[in-house]
Amino acid sequence: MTKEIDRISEAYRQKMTDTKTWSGFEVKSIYTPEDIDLDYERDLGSPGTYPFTRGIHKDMYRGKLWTMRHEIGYGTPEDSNRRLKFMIENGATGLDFIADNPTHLGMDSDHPLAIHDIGRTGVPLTSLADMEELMDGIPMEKVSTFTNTFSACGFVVLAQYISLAEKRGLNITELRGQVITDTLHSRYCGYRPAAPVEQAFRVGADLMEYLTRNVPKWNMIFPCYNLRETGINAVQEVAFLFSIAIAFIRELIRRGLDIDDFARRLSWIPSCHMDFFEEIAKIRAERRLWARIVKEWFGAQDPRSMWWRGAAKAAGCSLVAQQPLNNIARVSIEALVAVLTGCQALEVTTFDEPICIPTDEAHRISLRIQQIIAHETGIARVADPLGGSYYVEALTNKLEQEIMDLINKIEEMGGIIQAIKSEWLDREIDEALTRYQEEVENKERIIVGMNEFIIPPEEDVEIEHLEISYERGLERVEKIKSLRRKRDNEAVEASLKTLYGKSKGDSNIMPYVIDAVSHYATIGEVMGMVRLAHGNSYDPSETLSPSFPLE
Amino acid sequence: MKADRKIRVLMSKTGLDGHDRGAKVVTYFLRNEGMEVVYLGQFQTPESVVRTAIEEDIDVIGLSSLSGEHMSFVPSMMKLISQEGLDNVLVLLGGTIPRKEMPFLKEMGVDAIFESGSPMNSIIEFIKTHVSLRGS
Repeated sequence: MTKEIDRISEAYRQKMTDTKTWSGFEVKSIYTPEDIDLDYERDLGSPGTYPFTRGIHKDMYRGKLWTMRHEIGYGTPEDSNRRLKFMIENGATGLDFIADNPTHLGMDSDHPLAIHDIGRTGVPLTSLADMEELMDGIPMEKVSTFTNTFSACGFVVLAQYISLAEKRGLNITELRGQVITDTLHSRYCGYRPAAPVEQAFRVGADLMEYLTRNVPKWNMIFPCYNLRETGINAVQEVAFLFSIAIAFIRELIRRGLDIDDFARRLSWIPSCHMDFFEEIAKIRAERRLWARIVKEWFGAQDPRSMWWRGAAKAAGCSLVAQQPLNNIARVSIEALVAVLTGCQALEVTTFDEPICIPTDEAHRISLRIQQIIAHETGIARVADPLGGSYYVEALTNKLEQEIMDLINKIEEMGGIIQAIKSEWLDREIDEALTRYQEEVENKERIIVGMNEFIIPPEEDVEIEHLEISYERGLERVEKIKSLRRKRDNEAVEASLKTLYGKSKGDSNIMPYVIDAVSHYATIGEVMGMVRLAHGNSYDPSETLSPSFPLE
Repeated sequence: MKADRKIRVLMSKTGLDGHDRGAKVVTYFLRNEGMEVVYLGQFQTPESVVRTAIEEDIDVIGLSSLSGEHMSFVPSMMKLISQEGLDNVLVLLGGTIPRKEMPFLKEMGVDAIFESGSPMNSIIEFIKTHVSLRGS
């Protein structure tokens, strides 16, 4: 007991020694009016007013609460369909499904390398048949769906969704949802083989152009979150993704679209990380900065084009496997960042994410956290409740300046595509993640339960975890093989050949992708055509080749 | 093992999973310790990992698994390791490994499991201690 007594008397004198933000900015112990140089109209504006620092809507959450949705996907399309319905029954207000690893890579479930990965970290979506099962019993005309496949193959999954809507006789101009149209970032998030730069940029731009002209209510997402998870800081998160969006905007304008045709459909997934005030400042800064970029750089006239709309997500990489129930506290704090900054949608990452694919119960707890914030705390009553705080405004200014400087640096390099090709971005990410880890090892960063306040594993709570059986994977393989026998293979082949030809030319490939998909061409086959047409291997792993001659 | 020979580590992901932050970080720390690390990218199979381990005269195989794929990948790989007579090779597994699965994986022949959040020093120390034990 003597040791414990020593410890408690020492702990009584504990001080706040960590004076830098997550991104490394030194902050003072107090902020005063001296620290902020603000013109209310110019720099903040009331909610709904340019530059939208305080929010994009005049009445904010009194007009509409944020959309509560959670990424669903595991096992089979049937398993995931059940979970989607479970979340709807429990009060989710938006749908969000994520594809498994093979699908993200543009590989079918019966690909010889896929067997260990089927239905892990997402739902397998090899063909339209899988989308039919996934969306079974869900009225697509009534829901807003995030087809969350963030690799450079996400357009094929969206094509499955659109094709299914057409089969159901729905008017696709009325469909509502979100898709990740940034096809460049995924090369840093595990899906590089599926994203050769030129090909990825072309399909991303094709997708954006197609949606603008044909599915005008569909939102086009740039997921800052995904890149943040690699270990970069708050400034890099925003600057890198803004630079990617700028590249796509320039391409769409080159194709003849006007900024006001499409900019109002751009939306963002900011990460909500653990450094509370820095994250709040980041989101306020990016809202102001984006409005200025769209207006001043691209000449937008429509105020809606200048809206930075956020579908926030609590940072998965801030969660730890040790003493996992503590993660409920972490994601709750992160969720507050989203609500206090007026985001339009929120996903609260499940507490079991560092351990397994989320269970039903873990997903429900994530949803309940949102509902507690919305209905018990009163936090959503007033727009931008932290606006005007000397500290928050000073930090917002600081973050905006840092982000802008980094965007300008990338511009000077020749833009983000150049920064990617020269591997500058790789180096930035690698440096950031190793620096972060060194800080964790040195305990410059304290992570409760992981590098401090540790308990022996046998004292830790045991949580239920979801298992994905290998046998279910084998059943999937048989199912896909059977699909290949049963479908109209002449129609499949003809549509794929057309897609190949169009991919070699300049036309927008989306209508041809949707056509091939409607004949039950698989994601591997569709991607194979696009890849070959761009001079890449048919299969990202270079294992397979097309089953028919192309020319 | 000769005294001047550096410890040779093969670091790999299993299967198609792309969560590579852990594997990259561990590689960085092991290299800083003077070990030679062969880093294999995506699309590895139990066969390709074992083949590379033989070709590169590897002392330690480090596998990083974040999506649960280790439960089928590891048994297949351990079978091959035993067939090839690589009994001296140390097999380490890291990443998102539920504690409930650890006894099974150890039984399969995995020498140590480092769940996410493990200190880098614990990995380095384990390798140093056990490679020299096996070499002697």
